[in-house]
Amino acid sequence: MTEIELSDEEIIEKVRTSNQDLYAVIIDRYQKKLLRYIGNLIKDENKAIDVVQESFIKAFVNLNSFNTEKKFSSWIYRIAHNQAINLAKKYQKETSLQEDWVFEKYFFIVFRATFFILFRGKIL
Amino acid sequence: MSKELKDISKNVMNQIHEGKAKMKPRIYFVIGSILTFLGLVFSTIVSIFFIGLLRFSFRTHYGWRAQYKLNQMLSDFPWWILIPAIVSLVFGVLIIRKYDFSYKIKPWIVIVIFILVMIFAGWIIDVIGLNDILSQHGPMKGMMFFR
Repeated sequence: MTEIELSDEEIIEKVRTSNQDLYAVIIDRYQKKLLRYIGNLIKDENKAIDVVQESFIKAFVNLNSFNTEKKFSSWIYRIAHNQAINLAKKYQKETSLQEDWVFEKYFFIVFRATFFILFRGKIL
Repeated sequence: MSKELKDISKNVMNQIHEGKAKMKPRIYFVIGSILTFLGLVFSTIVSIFFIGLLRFSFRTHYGWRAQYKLNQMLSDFPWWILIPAIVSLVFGVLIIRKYDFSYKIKPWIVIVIFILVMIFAGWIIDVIGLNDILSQHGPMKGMMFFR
């Protein structure tokens, strides 16, 4: 049976146990789809290429955490999606720190409100 | 586009061959999951105890019996649980953060949210009386004597 006939999960099992070169087959299967997906998400072709490349590397490094009973496609899409979001956040952070500040302030208000309700409101 | 696609494949495979991208061993993920789970269990126990303690201290009128009961609660509680709770929680979160799939959230935010959830869970468990059932029948039998 050639690798072309194997499922993604079967290839991943082989990559993990015996043949790391087979990871190229996985890359070939998904790079176009991921580029299209990430390209639509971040609207920048060069950054999309970086995101996809970084996603494949991350997936390889963490391949042992992948459960072969689940679908590899969902897993790699999630990694790429998160990678794109992280990149977007990074660029947002570079341009403005305002959002972070708002989030921390909001978090502090929620924390104080929880404390007040629990201990001052005599719920306990 | 096809040149870029070739580049992606080539770059990734080069990093793998040069050893720059190495697969993390399976044990790494197993330890991360176990530590986080243990952290969750220990934190829940600690949280239930503290909520029980708070409720007790709010209810009593500080007579000698109440003080005695409070002291008994404090001395009966297995304080060593605090150490594995904190250690496993911190290491579990650190290891899981290194999976690096999640959105990048500051670790202190993760820990604070986790602790708040634990306090809330402890309060719920205390209110519905699950802690009493566990301390009388379950594996926690004899561990805590709240009332």
